[in-house]
Amino acid sequence: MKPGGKGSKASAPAKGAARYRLQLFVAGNEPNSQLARENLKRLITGVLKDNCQLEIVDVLKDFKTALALNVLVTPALVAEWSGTRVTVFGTLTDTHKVLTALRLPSNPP
Amino acid sequence: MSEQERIRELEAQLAHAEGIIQALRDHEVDAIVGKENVFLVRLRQAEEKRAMLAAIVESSEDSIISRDVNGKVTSWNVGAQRIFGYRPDEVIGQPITRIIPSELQAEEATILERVLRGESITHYETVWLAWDGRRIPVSLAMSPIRDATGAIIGASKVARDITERKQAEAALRASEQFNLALLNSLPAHIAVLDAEGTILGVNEPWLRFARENGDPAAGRVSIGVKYLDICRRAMQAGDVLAGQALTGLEALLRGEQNHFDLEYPCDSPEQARWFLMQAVKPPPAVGGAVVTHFDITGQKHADEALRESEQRFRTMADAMPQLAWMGHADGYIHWYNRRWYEYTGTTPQQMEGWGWQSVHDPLLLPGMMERWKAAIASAETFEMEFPLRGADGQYRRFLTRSIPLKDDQGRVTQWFGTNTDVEESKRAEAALHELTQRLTYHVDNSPLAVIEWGPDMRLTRWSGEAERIFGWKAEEVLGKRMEDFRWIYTEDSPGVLGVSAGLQDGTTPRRLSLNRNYRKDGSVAHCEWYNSSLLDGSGKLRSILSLVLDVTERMEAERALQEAQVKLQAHAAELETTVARRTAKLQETISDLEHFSYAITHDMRAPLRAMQGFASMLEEECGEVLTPPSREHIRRIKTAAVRLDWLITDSLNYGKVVRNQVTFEPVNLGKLIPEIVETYPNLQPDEADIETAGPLPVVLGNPAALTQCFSNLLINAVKFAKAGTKPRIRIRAEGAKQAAGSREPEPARGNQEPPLVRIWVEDDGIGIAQECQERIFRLFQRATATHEGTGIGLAIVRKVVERMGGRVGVESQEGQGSRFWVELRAAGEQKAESRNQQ
Repeated sequence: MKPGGKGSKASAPAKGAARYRLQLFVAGNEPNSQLARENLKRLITGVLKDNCQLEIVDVLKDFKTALALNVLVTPALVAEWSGTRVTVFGTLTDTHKVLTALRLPSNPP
Repeated sequence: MSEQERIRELEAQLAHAEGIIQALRDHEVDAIVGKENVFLVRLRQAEEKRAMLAAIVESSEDSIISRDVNGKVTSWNVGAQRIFGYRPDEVIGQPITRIIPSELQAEEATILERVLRGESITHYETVWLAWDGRRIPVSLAMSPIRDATGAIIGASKVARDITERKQAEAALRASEQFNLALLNSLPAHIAVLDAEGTILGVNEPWLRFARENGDPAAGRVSIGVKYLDICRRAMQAGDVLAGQALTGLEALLRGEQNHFDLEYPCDSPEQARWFLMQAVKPPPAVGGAVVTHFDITGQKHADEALRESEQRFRTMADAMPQLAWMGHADGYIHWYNRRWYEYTGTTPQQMEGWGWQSVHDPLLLPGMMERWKAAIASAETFEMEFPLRGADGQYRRFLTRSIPLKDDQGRVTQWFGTNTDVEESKRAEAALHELTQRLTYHVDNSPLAVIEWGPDMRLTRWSGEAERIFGWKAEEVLGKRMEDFRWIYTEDSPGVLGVSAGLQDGTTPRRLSLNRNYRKDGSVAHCEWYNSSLLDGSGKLRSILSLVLDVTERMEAERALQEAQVKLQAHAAELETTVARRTAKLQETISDLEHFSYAITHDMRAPLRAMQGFASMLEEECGEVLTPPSREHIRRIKTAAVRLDWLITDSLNYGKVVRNQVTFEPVNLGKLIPEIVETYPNLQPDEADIETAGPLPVVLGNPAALTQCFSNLLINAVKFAKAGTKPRIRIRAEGAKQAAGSREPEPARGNQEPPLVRIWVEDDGIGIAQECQERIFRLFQRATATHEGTGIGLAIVRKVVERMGGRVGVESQEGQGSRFWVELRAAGEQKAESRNQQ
């Protein structure tokens, strides 16, 4: 698990630092990408309570990173923590799906 | 990898793929990432979009055009017409190349080729041509146009005129550069934090400080780092100030406060430093916080220096002998030095503000207030003298000076004042005035003229006596130089100038000179000048003072005296000549007389011999026939003849002594006197006892004269022995000083005179009566008639002794012997020499 190992090391410099390292892959300002951004922001300020570190990657500018993570369509959210990596594709409108992927409890809609 | 792991891996891949498919199915995808490119996916609502698109195309500000595969324009919207100036009918069906500059057509072809292969091109910036040849920068997006089957039949081009944007970009770039340069040039270290406290940007000084203070790569505090974490770690390490910084920043980021300041020390290895950390909220659009650190070490030092300076000022002000105070611009006095309270005996509470009026003389206060208020109003230095009441209730006069301290704009910020006690100096001034008056009075009334010159050698003082001596009034000469009026006697002028030069340059600052001056009436005065010059520290002349004594009368008297002396000398010389002439004549006469008397004396011997011879013959021939009385007559004739012979012999001797020149040489009396004793029969031991007591000295004299002298004294001693006794004679010598008890006072003698020795000749004879002792040394004087004698012997003794520079005397009492003494010059070697030369 090369990327995960590296990520956890870099993102946990001290106690209390972000648990999740998040990468949101978008295609410029395309509508779905825009929607995904907004949904993720709501999740971060809400459920995740800043307990994460976010990087947004625009595939129109850099698609190599996406390829490396096997992200073939956008928008897509790649979350890494403790050597685990999950990828959620789509606009992230389905909060339940996202939280399940992040192994976080959620109240079913 | 184990089988289990492999299965889990495959399941993950499957879930991944399912996720992609689900997203595509839900139309939640807008791009597909290919191995070499990204394909935008717009599947949904294609039809609606097309209609919408047409509307958008027409209303768009952008130029939207399409072309077919052959390069002919197939559509041309309003935006295109506006930007490039062609109407649709002018370009539709025409080659698109007419709006592409020739040098860019190859590039256009390449890009088109990509589009016709299915690629979309966005944000491609190039230049197109307007109808009038203007070059218009455009941002281009190109997409393939497909028919219903998906075959590419052309390309759409959306071109946006980016002239303004280009300009704005350039301006923005310049502005950003400017802002960056500005930020980097600030001494403050600046970091911009986002709402989470992560560093978004820092300026160069921030990085430099990090590099210089233990973080060479500046990695700990650069972009992306959470600044709050740094503070938190420092706090956990025990840094209290870091804790305060953390609290403050968190409050700011939460929006609870807009501003946060913290001063903290941060020493470098070389020096103590202080910093001010400041955090402010940026405009709401930005969020987060802007953190700056200022190095305030200099300010701290300045504060410290200011405090010290103020302390020094207070100490100095308290130590100064004057009273001092400081007031606000409006004259409200807020500080007095210690001396003020000591002198006035007041308290700060009593004095605060305008309380000082209580130590003023109530009568003088209104006038003083008027001037002080005028000074405050005009912001000009105030100076006034007035009395202040001391703690003892007595007023003393003070000179008060107050200076306004002004700021850059010339506004008064403070009044600083001092009160100097001038009571003593006022008294001293009065005393000085009185002293000056007294001195001036004395100068004016001095019997010496007092004349003073200033630094420019112009007269500054001309006393009353100067007016009297020289005739000029003070007002006629003051301010003039000495060469400005006919005053210096022409002949004496070089000397006077020499004296003046020596006084002016200080080489002879004190001088007495004598010269002549003209008076106003042209007559000449002889003056003695007592001059002194006063130079300042740098040797520059300040004043020359001369006291002048008019010595004209004295000079004239001296001249008269000199003339008289000359006359007198001439007269004396004349007189001397006369005397010499007469003396020569007299000596000639004396010489004649001496020759005459010698001749007579000598010639008298012949008849005397005849008388003696014939008297003897008569006695022998007729002795028996003569009667006894006749024989007695003959005997008397013979005796008288013998006496006359003695008289003649002595007279001849005396004459020799008187006449002859006497030369001096050392004579040893110890040898001379025994020789004399041997020579005379009646001095032989059977006739007399002659004893020499002690050694006899060597004296300076003439041997023949000394022989005469001592033989006469010895023969006298024997002759005047008591009847029937054998005379005893004692000869001794003593220093003349031991003879100080002699009756005759010692005549004063010069130091160069050789010492005298006294030779005593003492006998035990009949002695000499007191009354005769004076005259026995005179010619033909005798003390007694009972003994034979001519009265010449002692006269010869005195004569020879006196001619040898000595003296003679006697001490005697009748019947008790006589003690004759002779003082003679002792013969030291040198003395003998000098005496011989005379």
